[in-house]
Amino acid sequence: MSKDFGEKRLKKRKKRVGIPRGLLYYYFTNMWETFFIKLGAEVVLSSPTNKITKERGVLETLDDECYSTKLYHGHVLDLEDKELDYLFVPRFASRKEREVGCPKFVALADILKHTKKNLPPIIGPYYSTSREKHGFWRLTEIIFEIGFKFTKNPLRIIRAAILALRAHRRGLDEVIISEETLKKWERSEILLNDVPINDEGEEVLKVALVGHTYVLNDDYASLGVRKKLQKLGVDIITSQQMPRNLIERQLLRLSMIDFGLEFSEPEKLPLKELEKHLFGKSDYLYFEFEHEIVGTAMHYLENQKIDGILMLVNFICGPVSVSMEYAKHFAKKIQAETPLAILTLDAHTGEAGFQTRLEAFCDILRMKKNEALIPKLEEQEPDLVLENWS
Amino acid sequence: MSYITYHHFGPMTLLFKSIFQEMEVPEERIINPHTPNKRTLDIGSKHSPEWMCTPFKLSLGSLIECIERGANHVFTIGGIGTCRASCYGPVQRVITDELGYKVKFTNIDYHKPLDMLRDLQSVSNNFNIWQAIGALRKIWVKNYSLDLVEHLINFYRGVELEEGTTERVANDVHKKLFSIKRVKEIKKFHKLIPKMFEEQVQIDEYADPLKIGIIGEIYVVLEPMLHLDLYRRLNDLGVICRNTVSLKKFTDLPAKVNPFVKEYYKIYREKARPYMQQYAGGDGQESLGATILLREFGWDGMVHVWPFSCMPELSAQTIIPSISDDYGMPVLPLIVDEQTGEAGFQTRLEAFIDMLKIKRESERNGNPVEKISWEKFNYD
Repeated sequence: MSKDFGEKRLKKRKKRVGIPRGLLYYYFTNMWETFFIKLGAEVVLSSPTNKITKERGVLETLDDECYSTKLYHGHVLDLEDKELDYLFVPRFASRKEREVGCPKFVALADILKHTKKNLPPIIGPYYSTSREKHGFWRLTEIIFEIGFKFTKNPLRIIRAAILALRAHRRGLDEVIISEETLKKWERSEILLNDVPINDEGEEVLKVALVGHTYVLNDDYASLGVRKKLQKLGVDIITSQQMPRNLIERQLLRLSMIDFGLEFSEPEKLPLKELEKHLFGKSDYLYFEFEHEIVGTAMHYLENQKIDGILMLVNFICGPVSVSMEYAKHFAKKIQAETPLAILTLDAHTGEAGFQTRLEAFCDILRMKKNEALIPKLEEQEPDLVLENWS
Repeated sequence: MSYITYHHFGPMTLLFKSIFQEMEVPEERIINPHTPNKRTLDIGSKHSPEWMCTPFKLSLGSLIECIERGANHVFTIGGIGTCRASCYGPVQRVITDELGYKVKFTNIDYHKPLDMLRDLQSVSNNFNIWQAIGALRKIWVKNYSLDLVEHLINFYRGVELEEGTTERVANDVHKKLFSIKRVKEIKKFHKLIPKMFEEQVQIDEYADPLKIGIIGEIYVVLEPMLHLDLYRRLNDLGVICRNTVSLKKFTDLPAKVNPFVKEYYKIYREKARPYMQQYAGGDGQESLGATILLREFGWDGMVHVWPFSCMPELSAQTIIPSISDDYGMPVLPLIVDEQTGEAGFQTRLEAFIDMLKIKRESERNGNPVEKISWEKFNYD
């Protein structure tokens, strides 16, 4: 009797859901994990990015795929032999009416399904507010569709969904700072990230680290840029910590050239009035994940309260090619004095070269900050000897 | 005084030209782009972001050339899209602004027919909304004929006996088409076009040509400068081909409004569902669907052309090998950018066609050669 009972318990093991640690995972970490755990499933994450992930991913994909997607394939291969029941790769298109994500996210689930053989069934809900006008009902549909795969109790699904959304919001609140905190950081009153380690007598530099969340938070993919900067005595703020209001206001200014409001001060523009102005205008940077990149770069190029901006981008990333152009244009337009460096990452980027570039960037920032350090070229007297000879 | 211009985009150029004529914009105020050449592409790629797709670079080059000739009001593509194609307008505005040109941009959003109409109406000679619709109607009706002529050329040029006859006929048809004013007469003329070709071009009926479909990103498929005259190259090798991408996607307003019309691209998307469930921007899904559909019609192979760094076609290209395996349809991927060389292009095409011939011989099992005709070739 007891033996049978034991077997039954064994059979009723928790269903295992695999989530590859890449791309969208970094935006929705809390939401996805909480949802599946509260549904009674076991969440299996792929191991953090390492050399094996990279090599397997690079072998699996086409040449001109972006680095993060290559790594994603590696993460999926890492999950292959972990006895999963499902793999979670959502077909996420957008979550706001006038914004979209990267088009690759939509096709990712299909690509995985047709290029890899030993994969468990993929859970890939499609959600698009801009194209299909999805909203609350579609979200409910997705939640129940996924929920019934794990439990038969609808109340449990609803509870899981509410908790997941709450966890997502709490997670965002933890990361995103308010405008007052930002001002405090700009006055060097508080630290937002790791304590910078600097040699004695060296000043602490303030640098904004700008890039996609899935690049900056992946230690291997970004070649440990946070630690490297910490050792160089740099106090950083990342682009996803920036207050959203500030970013949105900056972005609206991009499409204002036709309205004669070009590049006026963002604080003076009431957000609602601007949106009324711009509603229906087909001139807007609609890539959702580029907003924080362009907005942060624009903010710091303008207010000049920090020493420099460091942009980390993946090679051949499509949306970034647009946002980089906007940032460069803005810097030229206002003749910004804050230096903006753009560093490219791909599968072949060497660690030594990267370190050298970071050091050079920091040295330049220090020189600029402390102008006495810049070696001035002394005016030399003309070479008299030569003139005499001629 | 505003001087209107637009960038070069294959057959769309002809349509834009006639839109402004229909809207009664004085001729001296329209600055038509000329056929792009190496210089156009060089200017474009010099001023564009490095990783931007090649169509952006070519269209920017074309725009800058027009602006240098005195244009100051540009019509481009805009709106909220899925891939980068819809932000061409805003980014091009930023770049021309940086170069110091004072240019007004109007971004046409083809997802919203009403806005598109209003934008075009604003430059017209005080047209009211009905007159504007009337003018636009001529455009989409003309586009049906343009598509048809394109398909006819790619069919007849592959099997013609005397070189050059097809193009002569095509030129005549184009001239006649753009001289007709009334919609009814255009529709009447549309029915005559296949007959004109049939009567005037002599073909080798037992030539037994290979049939190749062309899929890929719309700008590259329709712009001879970027696909390096792919159709002519294929025709010269004795192959008949057909492009599966059409401008109807943008211009066919009645089909957009009417849910009962099955547009060609909707059929392709339905076909592609098992392989790519949702639309992922550009023409990726259509490329997959067309490959499956043409295999079912008994075609021999596909050529997939796409610009370097195009996101949707990259997704499609990743899936295409598994379609090839499942359906036994050979697909040749060709990536183009501003540095693509002609020789390599030609070699790859020749090799592909040789392979297709070998494949066809092994599958034929001694069946006699079939007689070919336009009716058998056309599947619309």
